[in-house]
Amino acid sequence: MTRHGNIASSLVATVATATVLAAAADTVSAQEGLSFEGKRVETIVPFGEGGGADTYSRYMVQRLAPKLAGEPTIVVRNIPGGGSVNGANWFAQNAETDGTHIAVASTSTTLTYAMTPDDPRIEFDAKDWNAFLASPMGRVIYVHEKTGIESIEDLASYDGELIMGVQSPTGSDLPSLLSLDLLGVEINPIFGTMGGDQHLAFERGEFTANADVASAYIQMAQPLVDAGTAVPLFAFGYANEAGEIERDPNFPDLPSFVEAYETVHGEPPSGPAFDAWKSLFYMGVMSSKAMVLPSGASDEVIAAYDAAAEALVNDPAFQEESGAYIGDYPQLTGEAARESLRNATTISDEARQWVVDWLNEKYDIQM
Amino acid sequence: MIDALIPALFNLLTLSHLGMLGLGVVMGLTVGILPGLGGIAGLSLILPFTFGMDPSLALAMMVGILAPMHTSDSFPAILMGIPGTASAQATVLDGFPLSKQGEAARALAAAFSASMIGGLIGSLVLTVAVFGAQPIILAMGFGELMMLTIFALSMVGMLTGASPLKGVAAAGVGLLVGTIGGAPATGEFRLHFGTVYLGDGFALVIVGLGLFALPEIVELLRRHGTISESGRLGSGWMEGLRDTIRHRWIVIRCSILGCILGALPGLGGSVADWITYGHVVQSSRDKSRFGKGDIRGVIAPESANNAITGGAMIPTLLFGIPGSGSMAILVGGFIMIGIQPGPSMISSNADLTFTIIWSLAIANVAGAGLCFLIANPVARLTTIPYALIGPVMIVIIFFGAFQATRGWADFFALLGIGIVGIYMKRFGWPRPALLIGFVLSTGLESSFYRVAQVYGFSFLERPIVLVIIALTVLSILVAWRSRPRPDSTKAAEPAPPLVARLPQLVFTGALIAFTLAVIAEALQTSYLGRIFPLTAGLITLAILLMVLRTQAMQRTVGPALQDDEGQDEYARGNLHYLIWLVGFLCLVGLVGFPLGAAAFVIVFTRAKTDAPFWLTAALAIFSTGVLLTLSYFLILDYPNGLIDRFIDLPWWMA
Repeated sequence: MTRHGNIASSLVATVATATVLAAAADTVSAQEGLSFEGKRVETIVPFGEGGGADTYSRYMVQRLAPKLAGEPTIVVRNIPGGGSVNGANWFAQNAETDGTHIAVASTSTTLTYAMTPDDPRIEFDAKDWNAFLASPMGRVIYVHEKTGIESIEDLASYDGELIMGVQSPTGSDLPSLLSLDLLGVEINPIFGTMGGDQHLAFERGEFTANADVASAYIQMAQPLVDAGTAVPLFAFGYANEAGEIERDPNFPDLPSFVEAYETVHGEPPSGPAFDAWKSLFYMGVMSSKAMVLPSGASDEVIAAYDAAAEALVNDPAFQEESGAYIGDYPQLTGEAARESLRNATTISDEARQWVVDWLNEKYDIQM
Repeated sequence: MIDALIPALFNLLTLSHLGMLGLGVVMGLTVGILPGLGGIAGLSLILPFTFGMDPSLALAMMVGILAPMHTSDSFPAILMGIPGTASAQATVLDGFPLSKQGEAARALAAAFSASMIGGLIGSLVLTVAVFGAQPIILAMGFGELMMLTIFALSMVGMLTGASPLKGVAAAGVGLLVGTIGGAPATGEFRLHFGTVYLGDGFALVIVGLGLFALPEIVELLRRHGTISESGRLGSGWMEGLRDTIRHRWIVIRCSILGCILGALPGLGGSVADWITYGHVVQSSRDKSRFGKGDIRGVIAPESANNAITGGAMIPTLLFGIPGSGSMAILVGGFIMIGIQPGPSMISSNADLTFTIIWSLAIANVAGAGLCFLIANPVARLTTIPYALIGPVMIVIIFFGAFQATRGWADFFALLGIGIVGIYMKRFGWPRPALLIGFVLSTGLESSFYRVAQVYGFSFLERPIVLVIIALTVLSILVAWRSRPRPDSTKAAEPAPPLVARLPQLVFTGALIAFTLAVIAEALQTSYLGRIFPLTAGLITLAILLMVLRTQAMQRTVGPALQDDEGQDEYARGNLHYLIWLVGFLCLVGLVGFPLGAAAFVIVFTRAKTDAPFWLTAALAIFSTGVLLTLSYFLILDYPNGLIDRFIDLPWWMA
């Protein structure tokens, strides 16, 4: 009894201390940090209105604004074009560093940046952006029931080819294509198909494999799974603090890619192919969306946004409602967010070359 | 589920709901009138306010915006020859000639009444569809969608104008313009010259405005009168209502067709107006007035384009899959108010589903009603000297083009396509044919590639594919039978000498050069990126060479030979007004878009009219005021001029 009492009281003490500290930190940032009172902050969304990145941004800035010192107005400006290259270029060239410009970097942005560094159209340096909030988003791969595949084990012995829609060779579907390929499945990728088309084609049975980010999976694929049309095989997984890939917290019943690989090949993945996969995994899952400040933002500005992001993700009301918009994943803030964006924007030359060669040899695609 | 139908209506008939719906309708009418803006701009304006809003209130407002857009887009299409949205492009063909004949009020009344009925039929079809249209939508696979695209392309046959050869060639050039940018199959860039801008290809809004609006504006400025050639309004709106009632079967057929086309992902709203226009021409006995002001040419696309919205909601609600840009942002809005559209929508959210449908129906009626109210006064614009309206229209269409990517490049692209449009008009090339080719190009290429990869030739075993093939063959036969024949009663006039034909030979030569560039570029790309532009390029090249040969060798006047300039008695040529346009862009480069627009309006109206200064100043303030208001609410960053480096203007003036 006393032991329990002790634990309880020390818990209370810890919580109290934490609260006091947090409150103190709040006061500090409010008193000494800069205030955005009366300011107008622009969020650059490098995509058109509607769609994942836009909806994410509009939701997040709405909730973030009251947490920033001085409660500025945050508005969204869409600068579409070039699969996010246009908006990212604009941000790199024109963004104010005083905290009145932020941007959203999504998988397309980091992937294009990391995979095609020699593309002359790219005039931004995504690895130098200062992320203050990174939102992981899992991915699930599933197949059509008409393939007869019911589990990863069946996948290993499957000798047909799976038809899968892929948006573009350098787009956000690349990690899914690579995952299936590494599991030894023959894929017939149909490039140039968007998310909605892919779903309908899968439902019609024209495509036999599909990949979804967690939120789309829950909304659109789960009903198909319940009806028996779709069979989920694995989720990419989720990197813990040590960088090991664990099961996706939203899909604890599905194996991670690493587990799936071991089931198929009898050994854990390794080598340049796995390095490439891990880089794509960071781009596609761990830093699926990140809110960033431009390079050159002062420590003071970064600290103000870090504090706001921290306050946001610890807000019980946000935790309660945000799952519907951004999925139930732990949100990364401050240094953890920057670390995640760094992982998503860097890939070793060897791993990149491996991807380039693989696309070229397997699918006749010049990156 | 169905028992929620009536309560949903009563729920909507409260003051707060009707207020929100009304607010949406007014916004929807506004974005419909302004070219380049559309449902996307309208919805993104209200999206920030939908958080935490009562879902049925938010839905009433969002649907209120989407429904009447295609009613009010007839205003600029009919009165000015400027399509207000992409799906009002076909309305221009007969609506604008009617305005020129002084029949603007009649054409508007016919358009609004057809729009309203189209919208109501769309709501009705949507009501039925939510109970079980999944199997129908799922029956339309890649093969069916490819054949539908080819069927749509066959409508070019009804839109070739006097010279079928030029028509097919123009459609071919349209297909090739559509291949600029990323190849769907490989992501390789074609003819993008290293730019991000061309890497995405030309935006439809720019091609539409460049081909239709700019040439019409220049023509009207050259004519130097009023839009209505008689300077009067002619028969009123009762006549237009009677037209709609007289052609009720066209309205019903085209509404249902529009609804179906809207529901099919991939084809979309920008084709439906052309398909229904082609359909009404095909099915009419007397085709002689089409393109010159046949009211049926207004009624058909207008009833279709309002029905599209109801159709487009079918996959959005049933599958959660948006079929168009404005549906994508609607789904974004759904998610923000906590609704997950998808297979379970009708069972779990029956009340909200019916709220959407009722809102759609009511907003269509309200939108048409409001348009009727203002139709007569607005139609008077056609009796005002055009030199006063023209510069404001130029500002507005450049604003519309600017919505494509919101950069300087949009202005240059509009000017470039506009120049092509102006010379197509001058030399008698059918612009609708080029536009249809352009609209269908990407869809045709990607669906062709998908069918080849997924089906091979086995797609021919699918029954719906065979039905569409039969329809396509029929459509081509009708086009062939109704091809224009030389008028044998008229004695053949000798053609002008070769020197006088030189301008049109040069223009045909420019089209050939472009085609060769596409072919040369295609040869540089991989097999999958090459096959479509190469095939289309070679066919287009062959037809263009035939046109060139006819133009150079023909001894008598024929449709292949046409040069309007010199025939007319206007004081100024096209080039004069092109220089004005370049001057406008220079002003913008100097002082930014809003101020440059004001300066342009003043300089132009001072030079071209004897209007008092207060009037020109009022027009300038109006144009700039519109631009600044839109910039403030839509968070636009206009191209800034050199002045911006010296003076610190607020962001919305840039």
